[in-house]
Amino acid sequence: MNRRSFFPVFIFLAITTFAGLSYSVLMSANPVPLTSPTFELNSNTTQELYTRSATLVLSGTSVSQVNVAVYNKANTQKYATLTVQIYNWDGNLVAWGKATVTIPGREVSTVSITLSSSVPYSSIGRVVVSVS
Amino acid sequence: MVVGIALLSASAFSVLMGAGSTPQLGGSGLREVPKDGVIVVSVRLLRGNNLDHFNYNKIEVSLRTSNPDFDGPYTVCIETNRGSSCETKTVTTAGTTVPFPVGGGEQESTVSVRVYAAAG
Repeated sequence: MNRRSFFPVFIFLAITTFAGLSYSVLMSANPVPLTSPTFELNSNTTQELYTRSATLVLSGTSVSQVNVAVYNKANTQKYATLTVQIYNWDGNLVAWGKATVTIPGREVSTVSITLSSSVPYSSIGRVVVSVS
Repeated sequence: MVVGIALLSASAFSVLMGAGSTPQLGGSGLREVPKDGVIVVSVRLLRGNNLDHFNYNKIEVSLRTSNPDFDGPYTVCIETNRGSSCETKTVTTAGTTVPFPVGGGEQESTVSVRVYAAAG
């Protein structure tokens, strides 16, 4: 192999080296995040009902139920309908649940909402909780 | 030829370095963490330590590992409509709670949680 024919190999190796080193440095500086859902805790301020928490109930690594806490800001008791929607990472609705509860004035009630189907945690992109 | 061999070695080295940079647990050796290795169990909007307020000033994220093999230090980050911040904590199967102070208010909250394997 003469020097001229070696030149393309030299260029290829130089580019590979540069790309590889750049990749390894960038990956070290920016570790890949593990997947976690986005939680949307929506309140109904006109009804004075405020979603305060969402807790996933797991069986193994699948979610079958969501416990939701809602605060009633009013002095009188309120009748609340709670809805949970579970979306996958493609934005598709994959499970849902609904429950109703009467909440005394100035108190928090925690409600267990069973989902329409069990969903693997790793597939959950978004948990949306609404109260009306 | 010598330059070629040196470049070839450097290429192999850089590829190996890249392959080893997936999320790892510092305390448990070189190990990749699956997406459900750390599970965010709950998000709570609190005023102080109380749920029974509409004007929350703290977002509390509870998480746990799905297997003791994945116990270790993790950096937990939140992005909300009240701002963003990160905390590094040791997470175990028993569970860990990470509090994030936020500005007060009664608006609806969208909390995005990102978990990163941290160097141990």
